Amino acid sequence: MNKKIKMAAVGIVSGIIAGLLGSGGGIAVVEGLERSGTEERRAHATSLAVIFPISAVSAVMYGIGGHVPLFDTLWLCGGAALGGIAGAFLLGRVGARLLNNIFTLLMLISGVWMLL
Amino acid sequence: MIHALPGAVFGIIGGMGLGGGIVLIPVLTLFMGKTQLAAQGMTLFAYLPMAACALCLHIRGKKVKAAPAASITLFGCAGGAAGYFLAFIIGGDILRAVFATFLILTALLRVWRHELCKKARHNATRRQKQ
Repeated sequence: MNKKIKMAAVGIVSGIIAGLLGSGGGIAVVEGLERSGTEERRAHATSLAVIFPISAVSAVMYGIGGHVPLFDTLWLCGGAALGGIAGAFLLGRVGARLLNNIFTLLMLISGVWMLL
Repeated sequence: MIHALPGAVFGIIGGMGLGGGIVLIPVLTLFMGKTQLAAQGMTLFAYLPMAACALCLHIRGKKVKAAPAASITLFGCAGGAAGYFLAFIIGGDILRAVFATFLILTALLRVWRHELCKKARHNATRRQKQ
């Protein structure tokens, strides 16, 4: 398949996932890029770059739709910014693999819980 | 104010590149009484300050590929807007089930990828020994 069409498809699919589910668009970008032959580290970095504007557009849509409570979200953003700096600092100092396993387990549990 | 706490946890996980948003949404719906749509919108907003920091670090490292990034971004933004309308039409309960299914599938994908990596590493060391 033509590479341009492939990239457009990766964009549309991950955009719809991000807008529809509020997260997970980055995973779709990484999967799509790696399948079309981009090396892993680079795919991760690129996914960060493209998912930022995509999230911004989706976030504004949710905001305009009136679904987002202002003050709760401000506190959430403040916490996320501080946590993000802490996370970047911790990267490489804490066992990422153990954290990753715990995180995957949490995903499974909360997914099942939400379905019940 | 209590929302700063899940925000910080999400930031730490996200800042380490493990993708925190997907766990923040169930925390908001299961423990903080938010609707599915509210939780998704809040998570998208919370993602922005954290991603901005990480992105700056990566651009400095020059790991971002410019050309495909532009077309993915363009189509991605259109997809993002379409995705929101889709979420709005589907509405709370079904959306929650769709999200939960996606969550489980993503978790399984992570396990599968992890196993693949392990196998590749195992084969590499065996080849070295021979």
